[in-house]
Amino acid sequence: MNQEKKFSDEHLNAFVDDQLTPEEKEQVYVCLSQDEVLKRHVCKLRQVRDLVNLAYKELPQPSHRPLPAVRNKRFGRNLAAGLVLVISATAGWLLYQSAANTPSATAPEMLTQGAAPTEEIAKVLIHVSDGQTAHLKTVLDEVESLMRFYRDSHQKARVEVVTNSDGLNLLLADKSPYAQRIHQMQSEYKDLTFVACQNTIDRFQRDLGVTVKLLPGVVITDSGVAQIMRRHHQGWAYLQV
Amino acid sequence: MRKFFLLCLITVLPFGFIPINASHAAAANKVIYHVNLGNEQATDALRNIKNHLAVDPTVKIVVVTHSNGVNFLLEGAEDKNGNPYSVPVAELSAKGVEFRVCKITLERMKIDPKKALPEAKLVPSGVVEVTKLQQEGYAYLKP
Repeated sequence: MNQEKKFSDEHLNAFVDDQLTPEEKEQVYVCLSQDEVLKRHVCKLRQVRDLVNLAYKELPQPSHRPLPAVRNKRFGRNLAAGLVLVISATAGWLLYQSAANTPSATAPEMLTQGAAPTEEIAKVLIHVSDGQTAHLKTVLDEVESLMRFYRDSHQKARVEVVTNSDGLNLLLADKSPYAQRIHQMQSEYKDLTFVACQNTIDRFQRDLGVTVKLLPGVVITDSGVAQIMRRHHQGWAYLQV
Repeated sequence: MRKFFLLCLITVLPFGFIPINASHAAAANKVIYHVNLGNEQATDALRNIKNHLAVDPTVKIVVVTHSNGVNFLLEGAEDKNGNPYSVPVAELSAKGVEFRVCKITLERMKIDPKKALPEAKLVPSGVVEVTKLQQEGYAYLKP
């Protein structure tokens, strides 16, 4: 009887699981050889161990969902982080907008933002649709003034004079009042282009019976208004003078 | 999955309430009135601008003048009925309309800059000013 109670069940299970020190194991073996009751008990414990091992040998695979408790913890933290991100991004965006919209201080007499040349190339399209001689003179005066301004301020620029409708008169070889002046401007300013509208050329020939011959160096575009839109999309400035 | 969508919704919702679009709309709502032909065109422009502001008080308007377009912005300038231009210019200026005058034109026409109305600001080149404002997002109008 005493020997049965010599070892606790915990100790015997540890023996069965091979978790005792060699000295402890030897102790148990000695008692086992002398005690049939103990031997039977240990045998039963081994059986239980084997049954447990057998039962857990092929476990069904657990689902890969994370544990709900852990997910809840992370969700709260993620939500807080997301809100902080949104709030700070929004605040930054609003500050940027207000800074961008603040008008720069202007001197009472003179606005100087036009004076400093920029790295970018200035791109300007001047649209001519009025063919009256006085107007055509104004056009050339303004274009020359503009090219001179860019040259004097060392600003790279491309200027395109697009003519359609009666503005085509500016570029007709036999009718233009300013053929010589245009030729001179073309040689002086390499980034200045005079453009004639093909649709207008066709209309002149069809409706007026005019055989259109253009000044040398004039470029033809399929449609003057389409060219204006193309340049607009390319970021060119537009004006009529 | 449901919680993920909820998180996305909460993240996106604030953008609906913040007037980011308002600032974009303001940036687009500005226009150049280009005046260079003379007083008749200037009279048309001033009338157009008055009507424009009546319909849209928030529009930012800059009148850029050069060549014969500067004349109405000089001291003592009157329209064909003898009404001084200084009155409508002062009224519109009080509503935020800006008037800019081309320095090249004043020099060419030998006009003393001090003869310009107080509301008028000088710019180095009227034509270049028109192009620069367009680069800043201004629309272009020729009255």
